Amino acid sequence: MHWRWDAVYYYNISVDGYHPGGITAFFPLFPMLSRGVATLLNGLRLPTALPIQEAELAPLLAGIIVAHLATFGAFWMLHQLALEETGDRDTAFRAILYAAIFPFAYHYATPYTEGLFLLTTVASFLAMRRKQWVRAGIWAACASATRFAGILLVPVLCVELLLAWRRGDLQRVNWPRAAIGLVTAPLGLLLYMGYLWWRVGDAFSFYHVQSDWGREQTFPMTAIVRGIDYALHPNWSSAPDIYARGVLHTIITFAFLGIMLLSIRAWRLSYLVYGALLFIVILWSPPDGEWTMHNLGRYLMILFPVYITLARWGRSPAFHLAVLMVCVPMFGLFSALYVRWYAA
Amino acid sequence: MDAGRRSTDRLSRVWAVPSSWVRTQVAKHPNLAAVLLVFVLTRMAFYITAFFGNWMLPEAP
Repeated sequence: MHWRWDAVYYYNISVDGYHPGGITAFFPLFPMLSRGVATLLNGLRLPTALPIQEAELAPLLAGIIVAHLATFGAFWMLHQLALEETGDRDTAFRAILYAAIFPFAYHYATPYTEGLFLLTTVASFLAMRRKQWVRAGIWAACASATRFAGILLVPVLCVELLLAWRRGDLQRVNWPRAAIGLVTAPLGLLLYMGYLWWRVGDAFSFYHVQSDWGREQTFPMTAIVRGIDYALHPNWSSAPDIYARGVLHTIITFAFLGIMLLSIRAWRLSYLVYGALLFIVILWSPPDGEWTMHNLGRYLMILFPVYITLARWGRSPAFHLAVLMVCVPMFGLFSALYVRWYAA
Repeated sequence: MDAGRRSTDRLSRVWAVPSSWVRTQVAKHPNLAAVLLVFVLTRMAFYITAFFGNWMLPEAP
């Protein structure tokens, strides 16, 4: 019941590697880790490349184990970060609770990259906060090997280094470490591009295949306007469930945008840079037509500063209760729908 | 009646061992306990709802 939608592509990559075509849109770290765990479970024998219906137990189990371990790590890191940020254990607890019951958080329990990406980005931010530049670079490299959005940690690291230098926290003796971190950060993406160049003859294949997935390049504001248009005109959609999903993702997108705008003064500059760039990247190549806003809620759910902000607001019992009452039923409903192949 | 009470007392004594261990561990590692609690509860929620979804919902057309 875990292996639905994109999870099947990650399974195929983990057992059979990359081939020319749309599959190069899926980044390699998650399937690589799954393959590693599957090999261990198989008694150091590589998983056999079988169709998922006939798959051996090891590669199936491996994807689920990697997803759960990554999610646990992500919650641990987010708790640490929220605790250092707010100094309040209850707020840190609420931050991970809200992340874990977000309507699309069922993806943290499925063989998707959400958990791994959250782990790598939060760990990188935590290392930056602690001025552990090399560690921040390594986590950022892992993030950029997990998803394209991981490359956004490079400008974020630049901002943190600049701020540390202006505050006088970046001594000359630490410059080599900062430089190593900065050079390491994009390595995940660069290595993947090198591999794609060698394997399929196109280093930017992951970008060029976006049209295979019904995506088109557009100005970010155009995507938002189109999303609002479709939300205001139910008769434009070909089916009620497509309309309902579009509206839900539009609402979540605006909620995240609203929280970010309301937190301009409260968030660290690096959070704002990360949030703004994430919005731009996601809205740059949305699916076309009535699908424009679909999946945006899932792509945005890794914007972790939102959970820390909500956790601060959650000091009010009424707000906390409202979050639980909205999120928990949706989390349950979407989990149930996912296993029956309904898209959410 | 006495047999029933003796049985309950024995159960309480047996239960006291793990519950005391858990309380000690939570006091020692409050952060880990918080993360574990959220992680385990939400995994349980996912698997319970997924189980019922798999059982009660028709497959998507």
